[in-house]
Amino acid sequence: MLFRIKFAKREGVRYISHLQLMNTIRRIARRAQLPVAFSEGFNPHIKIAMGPPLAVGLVSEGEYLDLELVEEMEIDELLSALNNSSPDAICFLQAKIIPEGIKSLSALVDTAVYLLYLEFSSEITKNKEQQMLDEFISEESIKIIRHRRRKKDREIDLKPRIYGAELSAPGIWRFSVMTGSRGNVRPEEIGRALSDKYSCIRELSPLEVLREGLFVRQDNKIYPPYAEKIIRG
Amino acid sequence: MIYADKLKENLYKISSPERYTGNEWNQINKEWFPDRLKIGLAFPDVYEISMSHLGLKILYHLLNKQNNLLAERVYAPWTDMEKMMRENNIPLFSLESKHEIKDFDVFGFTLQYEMSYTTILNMLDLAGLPLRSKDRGEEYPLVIAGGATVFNPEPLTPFIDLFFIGEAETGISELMERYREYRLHGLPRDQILRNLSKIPGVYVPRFYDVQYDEAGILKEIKPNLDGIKTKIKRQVVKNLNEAFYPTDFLVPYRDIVHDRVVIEIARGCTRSCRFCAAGMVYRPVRERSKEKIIEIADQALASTGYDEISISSLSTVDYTQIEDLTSEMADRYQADKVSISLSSLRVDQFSVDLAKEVQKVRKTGLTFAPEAGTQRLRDVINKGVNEKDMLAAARSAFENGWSRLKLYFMIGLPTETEEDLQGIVDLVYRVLDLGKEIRKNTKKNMKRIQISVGVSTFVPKPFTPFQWVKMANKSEIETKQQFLRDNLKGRGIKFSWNDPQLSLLEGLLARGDRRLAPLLETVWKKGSNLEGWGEHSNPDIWFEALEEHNISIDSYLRERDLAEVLPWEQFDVGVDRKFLAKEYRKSMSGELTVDCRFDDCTGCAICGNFEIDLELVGADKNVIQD
Repeated sequence: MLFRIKFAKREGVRYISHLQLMNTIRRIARRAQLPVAFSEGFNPHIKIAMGPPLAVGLVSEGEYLDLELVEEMEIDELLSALNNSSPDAICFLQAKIIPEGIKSLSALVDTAVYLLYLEFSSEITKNKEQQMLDEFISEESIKIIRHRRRKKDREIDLKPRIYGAELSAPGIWRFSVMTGSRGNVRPEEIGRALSDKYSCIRELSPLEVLREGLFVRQDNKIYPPYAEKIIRG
Repeated sequence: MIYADKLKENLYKISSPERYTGNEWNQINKEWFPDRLKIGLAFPDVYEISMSHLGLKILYHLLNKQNNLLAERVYAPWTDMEKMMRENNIPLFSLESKHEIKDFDVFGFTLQYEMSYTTILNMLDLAGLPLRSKDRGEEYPLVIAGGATVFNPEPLTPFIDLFFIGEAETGISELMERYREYRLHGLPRDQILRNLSKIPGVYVPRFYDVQYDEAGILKEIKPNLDGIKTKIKRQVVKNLNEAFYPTDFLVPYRDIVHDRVVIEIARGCTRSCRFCAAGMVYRPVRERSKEKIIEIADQALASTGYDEISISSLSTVDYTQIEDLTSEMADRYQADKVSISLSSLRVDQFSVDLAKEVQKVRKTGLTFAPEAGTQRLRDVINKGVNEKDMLAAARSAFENGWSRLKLYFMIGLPTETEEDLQGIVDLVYRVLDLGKEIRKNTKKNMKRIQISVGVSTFVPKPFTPFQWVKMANKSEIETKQQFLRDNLKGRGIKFSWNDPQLSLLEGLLARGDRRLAPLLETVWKKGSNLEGWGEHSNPDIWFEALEEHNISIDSYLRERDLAEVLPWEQFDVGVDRKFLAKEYRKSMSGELTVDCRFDDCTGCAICGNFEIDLELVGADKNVIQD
């Protein structure tokens, strides 16, 4: 039985990596004494598959993982078992049963939504903020230098990778961006592009970013990866 | 003051911030009630090392079990973190509440290896505490220490207020409770220390004076006050089954060195390897019952969610019911895919069979420690291994699919000659050739044979039969290492060795005295910190400082006379000095000593001295002989 589970990674585990998070969740599943399925082979592991990695240092309210159980289990029961065995900073929010053989999260998820909590060096009205956002998003191209580990820096254009942006509240800008294997945008890069364009926007720290969720884009609409439309094809 | 907010603002700028955030599963968060004694439990190394240490895990849970006590973890920051902390005026803090150390009543260190002593000084400084005990007033926490190298704490004595000698389960909670009461009554520090020094196992160095003769040889260590005990007796748990053992271990988010449930199945070892301090200072052997071990394992696995469990002791395979224990555990946890690992394997076929038995789930590496290359030298050190055992073990390992073996040796052992070094080379090649042959003739798919040869330099340690011997000097060590480098070459062999200078410094501190304290301070001032890490190891500054202080390292590494007063003479670890001297003499003629678990009493005298018995679960107790 395959479950797709939505969970939050919060402040207390901000700095743990994707791999560490997977390990942690495996240990949570063991503590919860779930009837987990194991991978075959020499080094059996609890079968867990996760969506696109969240950068180390970021928190999220909308991460996903697929977990396979060898017995049936009610969703509420599963979630409370997980949450009872989990540190507060990892919270399992919702789950859906998904059919076997469905595309993996990493193959499906292509959109991430981030909230950026911006700080301005001077007082700025809401209208002005909206105007700045509109102006930023209607640029022809948004070039930044991408720093890559153990590889050369390279210039990339964020513009085609940003699907949309809106003012969520004063000082809080919401960006919907490309993520996954076809290309991605790092929130830190949007932050740099913003500070480059507007000197009044202070440098963004990872503490001022929240990943709100991960989605699947279809016909210009976005759906959570366990939406009926996605899991039924 | 609590530094949580200030840390939050800055942590993202440094490497591996998850070392400093705490909040792990099973973390204990106790309220800071005014009447509670607050204890900072410190390990002088970074998170992944510190978190792996079993002793500290036991202490953490043991102390927190007491309602009147509260213990939080304090580890050394990596250098970038330290820089950030100093720049932002963030003092050393605890992982649980992020209180600074000055808010604690007690700051306790575990002493694990000599080269970490300067990290202790650095941590005191980062905490904003004066380094020296005499400069710390009532407002500062009491600084205490214990652990593996506490049996000669002399180089650290000016910095530490109080040492606890022995196994903490016996009395650390009571010691802390007494301190709490004295504090509540408002007693001055010196009076408190005087009272505490009466507790068994407690050593307050300020109440002892050390005398040297004109040649600088130690003459006498004695109390400088009435009512202070002349001998400090190591404290020993009498029955391991009744001793406290935690099951709700902390579960780190990041990788740590030993990332698994660890269960100590026995304490002590009586194989009498003559170089081994642990084999002398943790006597007698006390085994935990099989039922108790499995009860602990069940609870610990349920509480932590770990998928690996390590059963551990100084010589795991010597546990008297080891076969029953391992097969029962392997059966019990196989369905849950929990793997079992054994630490400290003996060099024989039995060990390999056992390893094969338990590693049904996941196979880990195999390590053997013949320690020396010839039978003559193995007899000198009383390492009861012969070449036949060694080759049988290797054969069994290769035939069972292991293609990589680790072999550990020591160089610089007393009486060693080039023949013994050649013996190492010969043995390594014999094992390698055996592996190659088995690989050639097997139908199984086997990876290329690789033998990792780790060669460390022998350092004479206090309370061993070799506590009197001369340590090899720099050029001797270098010559020996060069010989092995020249001869241990080629495909299938990976040879590694230690920096000779580091071994010499370890030798200096291991048998050092109080006169080395200013040296430690100077070396710390010159930047020594986290020297266990290759990139931070800096022997040059030590040798510079030795010169500045006009200390001859040879005067510490020299042979000591059997009649000489040793810097650790004020401690009674239970094993008779006479026994150690006898073992030393026997070693020189290559005479073997048996293991009292399986044979006659060898007369180390621990049982009589400490009114304690061997605790073996699988055999009748031996009759104690005088």
